[in-house]
Amino acid sequence: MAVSALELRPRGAVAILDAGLRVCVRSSGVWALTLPGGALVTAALLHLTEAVSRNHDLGLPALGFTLAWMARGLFQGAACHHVQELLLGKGAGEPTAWSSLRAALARAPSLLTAVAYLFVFNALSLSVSLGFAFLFLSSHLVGYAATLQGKGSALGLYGTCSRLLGPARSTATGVRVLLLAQVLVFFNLHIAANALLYVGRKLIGIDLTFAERFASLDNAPWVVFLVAATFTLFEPLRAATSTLLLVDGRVRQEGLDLLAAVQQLSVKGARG
Amino acid sequence: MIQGSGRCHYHPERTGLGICVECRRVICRECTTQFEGINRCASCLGKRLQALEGPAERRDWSVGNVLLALLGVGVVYVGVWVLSTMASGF
Repeated sequence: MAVSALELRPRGAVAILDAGLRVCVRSSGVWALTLPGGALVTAALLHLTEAVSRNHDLGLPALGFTLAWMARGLFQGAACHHVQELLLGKGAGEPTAWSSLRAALARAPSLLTAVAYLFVFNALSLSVSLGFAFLFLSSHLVGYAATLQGKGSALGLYGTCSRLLGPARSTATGVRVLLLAQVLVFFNLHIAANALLYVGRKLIGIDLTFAERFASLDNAPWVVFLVAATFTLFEPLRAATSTLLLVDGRVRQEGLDLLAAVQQLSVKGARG
Repeated sequence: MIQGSGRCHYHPERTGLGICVECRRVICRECTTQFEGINRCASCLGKRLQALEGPAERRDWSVGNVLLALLGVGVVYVGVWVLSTMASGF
């Protein structure tokens, strides 16, 4: 067990988000595994937006975005595996990003099915419930982490997630609501970019009129870029919190914290 | 409803000893596992154990799962294409 048993305890939504942030700050592997997927999605989304705004043929840009979204699913799976190994792995030291990527590739078909499942599930549940499903259907938040466990049917993903989460299902809803902080990050990124342009114009005296006009909220490509950048920045946190939620489910259902405490006691006893 | 007529459901030649609290079947001494005064039969205990162990292990690289993944890619492609076509209509 990689972490102290004292760190494994039933947590609320805020504590899980806090622990997720700490995992992201400490581990470079999570960033290495999530940023490529985020960058691919950002590039593909900008290409698609360009094709939509110029009325070009949408076949190829849509295919590019689909493939980027699929790759992002694989990277999310790898990041979830990485966080799980960080928390519960038996090996000493931090696991390598490459070993997590290999673990995700070993489950590639299920991860790709999970991407499609979550795409359809979110589209249907949110549109049919007029958005209210956001507040009462949250178990699939741990979809990629649950897929990496290698249990249950790929088409019964929501049920598998619910079963693995157990009593932590309500915490998942709380985490999902807290992740709405992305809206704040979106506006902060916009303000920071405009502040930089302002400083550049006033201090250095560069003519940035074109850039300032581009970085405006009434410019669709800029808004799309901000959305994609915010999404990418939250990718590591999404992977960390979903894995932590699954661990929380095990703590509440299996008493993982007690098992860890007993294991660590026996190790200490053997040393003493 | 309680099944049987005083005979064990699994061993009809034996006299029933109790009733399984879950399936309500009459069970004999051999089939009964009693915990805190509550009788359960072997098959109900097996189901409970299966539920505790969680879902079965999945084989990812089977033909069915690979075909399902390819179908998934197709579904996402169609979805993205439809959404972007709707967006270009605005």
